[in-house]
Amino acid sequence: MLNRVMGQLQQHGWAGAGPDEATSIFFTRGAALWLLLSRRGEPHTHVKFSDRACLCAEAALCAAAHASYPSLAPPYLGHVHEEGLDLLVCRAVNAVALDPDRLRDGGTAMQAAANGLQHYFAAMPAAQLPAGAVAPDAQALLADMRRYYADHPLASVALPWLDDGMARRLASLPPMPQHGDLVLNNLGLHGHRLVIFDWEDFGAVGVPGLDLYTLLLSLWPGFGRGEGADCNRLTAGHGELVARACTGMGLPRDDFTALMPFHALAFRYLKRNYGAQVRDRMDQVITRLPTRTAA
Amino acid sequence: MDIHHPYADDAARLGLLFRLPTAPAGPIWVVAGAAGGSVGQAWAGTAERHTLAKLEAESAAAGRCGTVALPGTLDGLTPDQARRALDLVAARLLPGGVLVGHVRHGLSLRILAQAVRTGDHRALFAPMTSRRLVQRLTGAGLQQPKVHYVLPSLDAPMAVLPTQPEVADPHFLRELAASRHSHGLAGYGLRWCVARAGLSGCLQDTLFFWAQKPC
Repeated sequence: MLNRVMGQLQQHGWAGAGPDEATSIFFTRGAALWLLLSRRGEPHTHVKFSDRACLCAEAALCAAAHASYPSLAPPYLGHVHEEGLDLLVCRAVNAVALDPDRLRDGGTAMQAAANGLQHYFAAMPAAQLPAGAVAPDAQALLADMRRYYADHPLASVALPWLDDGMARRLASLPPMPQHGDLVLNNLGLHGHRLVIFDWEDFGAVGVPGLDLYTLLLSLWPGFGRGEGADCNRLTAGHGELVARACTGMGLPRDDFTALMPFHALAFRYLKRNYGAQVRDRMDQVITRLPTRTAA
Repeated sequence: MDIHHPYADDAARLGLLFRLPTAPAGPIWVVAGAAGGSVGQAWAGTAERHTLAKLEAESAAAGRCGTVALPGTLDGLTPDQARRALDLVAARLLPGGVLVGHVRHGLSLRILAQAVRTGDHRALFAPMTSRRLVQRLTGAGLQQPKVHYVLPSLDAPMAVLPTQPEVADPHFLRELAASRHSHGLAGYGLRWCVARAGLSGCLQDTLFFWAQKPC
């Protein structure tokens, strides 16, 4: 498989064949693998490939993400779908992971990250999905989630939060394509610039606030123990992040707070496609959701 | 329903690692080593199991294959035995055939410490290094040899990284920078010194390799 991948990359001019070219290979637990191509030790191209899954839709999402957020999403280079092999090619961005403590406390060293996030949330209302893509419909998502949770062990906790009252609230909000997995692990700093990775769920949810919720959750000190984010117990750093993001998106803070249980369920729903560890952790968060009172 | 991932299991990813190099059609041989049993499953039961002794006893005309897997098969062999083993299996590959396998990294500090404890002097005086492995593969008539570190470990592989210092050293430094917050100052400083000195490869226990028989 690797020779075919490299052959395609060279044919399209995305990889060289010189002696100073090297290829690192990264596995995922899903159906695709990653290559990081470097020249003289400097990474230049990131390639996702699979002989099991079509990456066409994901490629279109990466292109749309870069078009919507040119300073935040890695540049998209192209996609190849040939004889059962799919390649999705982006420019490699050499980024350093964010320090959760400093970001949480709003430290000055993380000002670049905070500015990048502010820019991300402010640009979100104008973000565009790929041409021809179906715009995310909150009511359809709600219906899908109701079906999913009806057979789920957490049905008794989840379904009351997916009621008609929630449907009315969702209907009152303007749709905005969400990244879908905006967590600390998917953020990095390239110099003084924020970079957001992993756009494969871009636009799967259009309910504003999901990204803010998942980011808050990944910064939440108790998340490792299955504790969910709580708007009544925000630190000053958290509070500023929420305030700036809500202002940027034009989302009333009360709506964000009221939607947090929905976002927990939506994130868990998206994670049905991913690893067991995060699913278990989100199940713990959902178990601790407050009892839904009649809307 | 939640989705089951094809490579969620460590063994499935190890199997994928063995299948990564493109091989021509032809029989697949697993020449038994420490991990030979589980690696055979990488080819869904189509691999034939062999031993070096069996191949040695057969005539070269007895059959050829498109892929030979050596999962740890070279571990514990003397340099001469390892050379003979590679010559033997390379001779049985079809044109374009692929030799793929892994071997203990002779410069791994953990393996060296183990050798000191057990008095295994061979491991100390003739360690299997990346350079030596490339020499042996090319010496057996194979071309395009690739040697990688397996990260974080062979038991649970998540990445393979070329062993060339110009690729591996910056990678280890980047990884360290990316995980800076998960280490204390002293731990980070020690790791930084090791990485900066280009010694991170000595923390890797396995060399994963492949090479191809000329067409």
